[in-house]
Amino acid sequence: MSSGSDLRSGTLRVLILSELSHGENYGWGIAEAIRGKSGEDLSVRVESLYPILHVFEEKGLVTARWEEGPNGRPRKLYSITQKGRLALEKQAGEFKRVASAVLKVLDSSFAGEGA
Amino acid sequence: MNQSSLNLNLPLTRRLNREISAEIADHLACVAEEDETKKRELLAKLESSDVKRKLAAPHLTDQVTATLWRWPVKSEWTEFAWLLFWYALVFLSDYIAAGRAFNTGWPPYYARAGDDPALINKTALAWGLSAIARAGFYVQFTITLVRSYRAGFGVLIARLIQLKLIHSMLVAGGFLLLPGLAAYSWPRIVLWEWKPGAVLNDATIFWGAISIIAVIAIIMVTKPVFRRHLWAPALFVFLIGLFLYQGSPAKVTSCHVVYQSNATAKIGEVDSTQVAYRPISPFYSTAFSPGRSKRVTVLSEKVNESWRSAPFVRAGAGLGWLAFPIPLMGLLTLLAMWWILGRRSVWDAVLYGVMVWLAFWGTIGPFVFGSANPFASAEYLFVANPAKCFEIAFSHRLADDSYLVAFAFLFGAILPWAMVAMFARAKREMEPGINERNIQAD
Repeated sequence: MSSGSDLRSGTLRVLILSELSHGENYGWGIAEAIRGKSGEDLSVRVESLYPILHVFEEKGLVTARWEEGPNGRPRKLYSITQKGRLALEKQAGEFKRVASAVLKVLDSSFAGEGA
Repeated sequence: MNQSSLNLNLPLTRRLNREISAEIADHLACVAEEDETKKRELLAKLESSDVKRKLAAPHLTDQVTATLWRWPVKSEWTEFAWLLFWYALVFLSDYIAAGRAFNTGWPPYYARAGDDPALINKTALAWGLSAIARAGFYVQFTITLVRSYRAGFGVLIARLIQLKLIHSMLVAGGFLLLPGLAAYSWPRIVLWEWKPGAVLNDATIFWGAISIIAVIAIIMVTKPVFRRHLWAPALFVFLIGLFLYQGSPAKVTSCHVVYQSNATAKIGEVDSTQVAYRPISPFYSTAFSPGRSKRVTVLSEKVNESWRSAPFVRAGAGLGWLAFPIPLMGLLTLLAMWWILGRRSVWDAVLYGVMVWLAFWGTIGPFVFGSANPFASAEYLFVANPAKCFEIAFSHRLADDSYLVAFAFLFGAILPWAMVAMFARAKREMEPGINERNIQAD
């Protein structure tokens, strides 16, 4: 995917876990969901998405299974585990806290400019 | 690359490469359903070594296993052939140096050699050949490591394990084929009225200065694409200059010498503790510094100022420089394996610890036994061996216990392979039905 802003690794990790918390999904499906929900502002690179999914699988944050997809081609489906949900809660909480703090700083800056 | 038979050729085991290729093929098919142009762009992107590196990055252990147990590819055979070529030159230069060297006892360590042109020619040949061969060997070594790092960090670890074994075999083999290195280790410093000596002295200084400027210019001025292609030749030229300069013919400074009764020299007019208290170090030369003439202080009551010393060569120094990366590679591979192999059961941990301990001592032992301070630097590191403990190993221990030391080298080098075989397991497997029916990646 080439349009939109590229995601930093830490942010992408949270978003992938968040997307999987809605249910089982595969690589392209996850990337498309993130793009769609962000109003096509966020894009996911292949070389970022799959390594993160594989690391999650290695760490037990997600499990994976193969199934036969459309046209008979194999498709790898990922599901979040309980350990993954706990990691998501922790990372999402941290992410929201930092984002909120950054927004406060930015808001105060713009408010200062307006005054 | 065709999507229906996508093979990413990642530096992984065939099974994992097939699995990731299948997953990316599914991704490509989905992209194609939306936009055929985007699919083509993505296919082109997947050819990039950087993208392949990232895709394989999470599978370090698999990279190590795959690289160690597969048959080398053509580029690796080429690298190996070059490595052997440079090794042959290093061995030849050592062989020539050993042939021209002789033990002189103490004192004196100097002599006029104008009556033996063959000796001068051999010395100059060994000096030049040794510099070119060592520079070539190290450039090839660096190229191999850089290429493997670009392929993946696990590939780099595996190549270190392979290179450690190759280097150990070459060094051990070279030592066994060059008997008597210790006995003929320090050649006599010969002096002669040889005009090329002065020219060579100036030329090597000029070479050193130019090569340093060239390296800085390449780093600062050139574009990345040139840097990518020029760094290896620049390093080659720089290393040749460095090695040549250090052993180049030197000017002579006369001094007055007073010998003590216990055969230790005491210098009267030269204030140099190096000369005074190092019995097997009859001359003093300035440190490497392009643009500065090298001097030799000779233990002589009267020396002609127009004389030059012979190029300084040291039989066995080539092998010493080839051995130099072995302990470093050993430590790096052991650390890397501790990292990639992960947590073990108690029994595995004990076995693993014992093997690490043996591998460590097999690698380091030959250099540190008999050395009071293994980290002491050598006096003439570019001319002789790069570290003091190498000097001791090569001039004493290898002479007495050559077969034992060769065995320790090889044992230490083989152990990492055994550790990978015993402890690294391929964990990932596709579901059997999917794998066999649907994937044509290989």
